[in-house]
Amino acid sequence: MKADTISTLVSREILRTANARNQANLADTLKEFSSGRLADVGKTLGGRVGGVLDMRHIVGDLEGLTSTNAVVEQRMKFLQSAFGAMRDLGQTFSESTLGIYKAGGDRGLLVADAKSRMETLSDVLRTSSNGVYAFSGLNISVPPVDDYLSEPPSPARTAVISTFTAAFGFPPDDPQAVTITPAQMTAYMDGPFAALFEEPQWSANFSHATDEVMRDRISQHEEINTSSTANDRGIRQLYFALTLAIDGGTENLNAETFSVLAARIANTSSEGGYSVVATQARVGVAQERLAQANERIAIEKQALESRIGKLEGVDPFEVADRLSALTARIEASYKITARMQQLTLLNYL
Amino acid sequence: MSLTLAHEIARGGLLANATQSSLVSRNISNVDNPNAARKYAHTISSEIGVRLGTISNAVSTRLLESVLSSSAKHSELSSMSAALERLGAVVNDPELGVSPAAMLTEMQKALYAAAADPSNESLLRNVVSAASNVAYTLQDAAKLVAQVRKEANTDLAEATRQLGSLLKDFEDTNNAIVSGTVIGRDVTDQIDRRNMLLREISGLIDIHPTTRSNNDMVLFTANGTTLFETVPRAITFDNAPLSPGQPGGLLTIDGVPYSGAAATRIGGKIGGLLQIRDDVSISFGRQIDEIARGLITAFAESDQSGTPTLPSIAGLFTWAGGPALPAGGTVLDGIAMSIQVNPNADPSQGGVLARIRDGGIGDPSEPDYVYNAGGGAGFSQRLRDLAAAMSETQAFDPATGLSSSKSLLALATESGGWVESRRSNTSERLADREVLGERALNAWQGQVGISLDEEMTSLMAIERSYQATARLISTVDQMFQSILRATGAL
Repeated sequence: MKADTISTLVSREILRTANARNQANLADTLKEFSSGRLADVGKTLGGRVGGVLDMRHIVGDLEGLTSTNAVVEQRMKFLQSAFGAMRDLGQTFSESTLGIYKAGGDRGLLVADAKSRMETLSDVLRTSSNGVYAFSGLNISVPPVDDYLSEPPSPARTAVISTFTAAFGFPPDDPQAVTITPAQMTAYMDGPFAALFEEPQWSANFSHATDEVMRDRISQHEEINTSSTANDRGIRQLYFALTLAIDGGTENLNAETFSVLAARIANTSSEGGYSVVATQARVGVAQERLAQANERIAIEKQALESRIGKLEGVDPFEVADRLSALTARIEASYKITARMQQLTLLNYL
Repeated sequence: MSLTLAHEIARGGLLANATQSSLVSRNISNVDNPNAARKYAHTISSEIGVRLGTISNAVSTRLLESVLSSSAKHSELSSMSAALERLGAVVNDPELGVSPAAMLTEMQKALYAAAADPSNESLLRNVVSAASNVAYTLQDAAKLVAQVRKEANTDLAEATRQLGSLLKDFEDTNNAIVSGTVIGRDVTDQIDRRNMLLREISGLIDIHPTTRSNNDMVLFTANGTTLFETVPRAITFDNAPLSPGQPGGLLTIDGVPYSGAAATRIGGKIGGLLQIRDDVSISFGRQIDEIARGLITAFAESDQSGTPTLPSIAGLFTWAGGPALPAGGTVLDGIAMSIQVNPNADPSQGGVLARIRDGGIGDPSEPDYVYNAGGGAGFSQRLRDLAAAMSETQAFDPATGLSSSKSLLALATESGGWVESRRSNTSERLADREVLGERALNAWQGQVGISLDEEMTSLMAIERSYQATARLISTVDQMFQSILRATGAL
């Protein structure tokens, strides 16, 4: 004989397991409520975790780019201002040389002016930005040029003086320089002196920089040149003009020869200024690309982060709702359990 | 009908009453025993009064079978879920960034940062520390996989031993039931015990019981191998030490070998453990091994001279077989155990940091492996190439269960997704199974179990029937007395 009864054990057990499950749910829901993220991301997302890891990888990459771009940007700004200084130097030195020549002014003044500008130029080239000598090409740990006017004389200056001496038979500061004819001076300037600023002499005496420059990755698929080199044509022209003024026998030349010299100094100096402008423009373009890349990176990163947030996060309203429903269910379950305990014939017999 | 007969009938009623009340008290004492079925006996009436039939158990074969099969499924999933839970720790919460994929991301970031400022020693040092983190993460993951497999193997040995001893108990109980049934004894308690054993056995392995005459039971596995017939069949387990990537020792039941291969799944805890040991862990371990091998390959150094003659060798990452490179495109089981940062690039082990930038890590004595021919501190090409190599497509072994042609980083993220999807899937199925299993158990226990209220009601009925029988006896006694008095015997 079996009526439709249910065993006492089962009726108790059902309530117990329901309670246990609700409480486990409550723990998870509370965690989600307080953190705003899924209690167990892997368990909920399953295979989509691969996608999340992928997105997190790209975000990491973009974060890396943001910080390396900041370094690159600083270097580019430094290059930009250095090129600006060199451009001004080329143009103003050309003007002041012409001014002194036309006014028949003191040639000593020209030499002094050249020396002070040479100091400026070495300073600009020899400044390091963040431990990087930006004009050294790949040789970023050494300054690209020596100080031309240092004591004892730099290899560059020694080379200039000895080239002059070899051409004319006396050093540049010798009063005999007055005997140099304009033709001789032109030949010297186009010949042995010009060769000093071409390879291999340029790298042997003046420059420690490499022709190859640093390249940096500025976005996921873009690379730009991010350093420059003292071997740049404009910089060599500036050196040509300044060293000619300093160590070209300027103070002792006769008037005719000096006019040839001054014209060449003024020309080369202003040409140098223009060449530098061309390089500066390239840096400007790279800076522009960098700025655009930074903008794109910021947008992409934000988009990815919001997608990750959507996958890993929980809707706070939905969780709050779930939480209150759960607590209500647990309370009800407790009440019913207490009532059920009373419901036995034993209490009524 | 004579008065004596009436007396006899009343006496029989008293006996039946006593037996009924003893059944009720047996039931009441068993009210909290989840394995006890309700015991009952039919009352048989005849011309000479009532007697009780054989004591029987409440039975529901169909519900018991569903309890057994869901218990097998549940314990299979729960042993797998526990192991996957541990393997999932390799990925953990993506936000924590402890997965191999996240470590590789950090490594690539460190390389790009160093490339932006290649003369900066501290950035090169970051590359070394990111590289050691990658190596440790892979080593730890490989060790974890080995540990999970080893534990599964130990658990398997234990579960097999347990199965043997349960079957031995089962044999004893079954024998007692068969012999008791033959001579008509009350075997209900033994049947309760046998049901309990069935439930315990089904936790270990999926079983299909069949009942023969005299309550004799035969057990088969899910695919028909005999597990028990009159006596337990032979069960052996080869507890051989495991090697990475290779299936472990076989479990043999009645001469039929079982492994984790899909074709021979046998369910229960044993089936789950076999799958963990020989299927899931092997695939995941191989994924880790392939990440390690891909990493060594991506960071390899090649001969940079005009006419290259030297073979490519392991660079920043090396392994037990280094400096030679592992063969391409095929998994090398256990390589992740020995992956490490090349000491030649690690200053704390006497190496030179700048080699990360310039090359020549694999064999510092061989200048042809140096990439930075000019020696300038601004050389960043190699660093950028290394970082990019992590995102370049390589050939991977399809034995990982993942796609075979993809980048190292993509392999690492896919592997993270692979293990998490298994973990999530298994735990979801386990949760469903828990509910279904509970339902099956509740349905079965609800049907065959004991209801206190019902027993109390029968007890009241028995009380009343006792009163009635007592009244009958006293009436018969009065009648006897009247007769005796009338005949003057009193």
